[in-house]
Amino acid sequence: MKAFCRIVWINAQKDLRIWLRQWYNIAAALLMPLTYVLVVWLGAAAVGESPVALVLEDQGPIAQQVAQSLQDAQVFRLSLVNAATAHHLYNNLEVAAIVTIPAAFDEQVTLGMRAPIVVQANNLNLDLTNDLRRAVPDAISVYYAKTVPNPLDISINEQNLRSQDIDVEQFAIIPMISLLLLAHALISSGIATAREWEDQSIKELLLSPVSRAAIILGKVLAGFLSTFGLGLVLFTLGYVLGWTHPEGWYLGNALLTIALMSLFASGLGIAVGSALRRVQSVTSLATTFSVWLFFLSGGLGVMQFEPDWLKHVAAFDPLTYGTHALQMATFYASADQITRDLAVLAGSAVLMIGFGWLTMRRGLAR
Amino acid sequence: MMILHFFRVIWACLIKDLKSMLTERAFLFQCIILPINYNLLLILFALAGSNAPTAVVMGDTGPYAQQFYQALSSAHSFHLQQTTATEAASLLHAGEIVAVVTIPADFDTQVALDQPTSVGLKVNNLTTDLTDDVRRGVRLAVTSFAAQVFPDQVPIVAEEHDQHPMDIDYIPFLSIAALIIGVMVGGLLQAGTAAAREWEQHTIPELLLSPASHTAIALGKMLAAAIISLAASLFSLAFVTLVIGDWPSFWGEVIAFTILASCLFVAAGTLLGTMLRRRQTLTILVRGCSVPLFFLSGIFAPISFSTSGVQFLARLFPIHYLLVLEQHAFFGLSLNTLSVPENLLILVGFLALFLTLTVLAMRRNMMGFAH
Repeated sequence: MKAFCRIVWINAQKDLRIWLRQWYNIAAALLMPLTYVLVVWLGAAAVGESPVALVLEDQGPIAQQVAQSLQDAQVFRLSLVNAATAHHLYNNLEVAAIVTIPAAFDEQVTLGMRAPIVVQANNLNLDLTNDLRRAVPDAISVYYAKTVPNPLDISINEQNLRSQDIDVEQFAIIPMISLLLLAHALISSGIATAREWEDQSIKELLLSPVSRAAIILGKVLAGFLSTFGLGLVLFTLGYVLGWTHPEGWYLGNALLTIALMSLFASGLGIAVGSALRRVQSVTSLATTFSVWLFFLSGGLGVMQFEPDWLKHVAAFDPLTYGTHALQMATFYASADQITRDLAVLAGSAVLMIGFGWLTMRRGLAR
Repeated sequence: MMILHFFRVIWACLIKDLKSMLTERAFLFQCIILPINYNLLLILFALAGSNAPTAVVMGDTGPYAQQFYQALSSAHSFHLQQTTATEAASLLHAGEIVAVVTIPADFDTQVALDQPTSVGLKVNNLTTDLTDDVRRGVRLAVTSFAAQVFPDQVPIVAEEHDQHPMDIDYIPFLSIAALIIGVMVGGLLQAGTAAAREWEQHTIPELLLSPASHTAIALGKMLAAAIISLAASLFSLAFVTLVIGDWPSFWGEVIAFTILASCLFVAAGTLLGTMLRRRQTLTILVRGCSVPLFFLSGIFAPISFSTSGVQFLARLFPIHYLLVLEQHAFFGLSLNTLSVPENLLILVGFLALFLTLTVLAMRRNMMGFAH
């Protein structure tokens, strides 16, 4: 048993040394998930506040208040300009729409006559246009909410399920950590396995008087250690920067989740590596695999907001459970569905190591 | 004779590279299906911002309550389902829905009497952004309901004038970007891999020290990659037109711009492969940088709607100009202030730059071997 463990450890050490020596692989494996962090921030900015020109043709108090409500709605980047400038900006594609509060607006409102706010929209796509369709009526709502007496006799009695909301950028940190762990483990374990075939060192391993189980477990251990280490670094970094702050025993939940995700991804990496046996194919497929698993787990959004069919697909993606467990532990001090999440992750890890084991054994047997 | 020899070198390099590519079938298959892959990913991205699944508990089923329900469904914010209070609570706790709106039992009576009433809203407030969307949606429904029921008390309305006769749905709009990202990644990977392979397998000295023209070698390699890249583009084009339903306004432009895109990225890929000299690094770099580059280049809206920093970066890369051209070819849209020939000219400039740099890089390498 001691000899077996020694061989496992020696094999793991060998893979870890090669991994550390090839710094460019580490950098390259980290590059993709890091660029996705950029995507989240850029995406949020891109689909966020659209630039809009506001033309105020009536200087009355109601028009001013509605204009202020448009500012307060924080849905637009509003520029208060005259009609000529607004058209110039619109024609130069510098604003998505012109919102005009027409002359005699105050008078119409006071008399209870229909008082339209005119929106000239560059309806390039439905998302952009729907933002406008929501935002202008919302500004009208904000205006009415401030008027005394409020003509809208319907109030909204809001109750929140959780004690605090999390900023969407901060919320997205956890799926990013999941993606980083997955991509790193897939690439490093996959390459470590495929390289044995490409460099033909698999023959030496095969002809050596050691157990094949020890060889495979050594690879799993190397993948796990490097990925878990990376996960710890990322999590600590997030903690220091104030992005991730699990408290008390929820920290234990978070660490256990990271460990199980690392184990699952390492097993998957070995399976992919021994099935493809080419570094180039592994690198390409590992990237595709990790991005797919990331997207299907609701990586760029919030799973609860996704359509039903996607939720059903996500139920088969282990990353969904890892991300959920980490988000609950990190942001909401909650162990909501933790047993389910950890059980799925542990089961997937065992399944993937088993699958990796079988694929590699088949490869070794050949 | 010289010209004949030049073309023979191109042909020989083309055949050699095509044969090499065919030996790596898994990689080749991935490159061909890559554009469709990106399309599906963008669909998932578009769905991430879709309407919030919300349960409505109809405590009252009178005409005003029904009208309020209609106002909620027209708020461009919710995917509604009517449930009982118990079902709604269980769906909310299971994470199946985001919010529960409860219309009280005396809603119609209170509205008819012009008395204050209150609508219940319970939110799974996971993120500030999405919770705000739900709040805004309900607020909007209240205002539009009041504007319909009491038009004299709520006279302010939004009056929309659209520039284009119809809105293009989000997924068909984004699919054009997916088409280009597929052509880009496929071209960069195929051409880059073919160039880097020569370094990894140490066949580059033989190629460069041979008496064949470097331009002919480079062109032969690029043509082989372009053939594969175009095959992938055809797949993607079929997917975008037949599955997504984006029927081009100008077929000629679509074909011309796709060929240009393919040539452009194949040239860039050859340059990248020659510089990096490692297939693995190239693959990860290309796969890692491609999506962020696209997000920078204005796939959601004209880049002029973005910050000046993003606009500056977007204009440094050819992707932005290709996006503009393809959106014009498919939908007749203008996403920047340049004309079609001006955008085209910039892309031809990029192509010339990549080709020149590739030949220069090969010459530099050859001088390195000679020394």
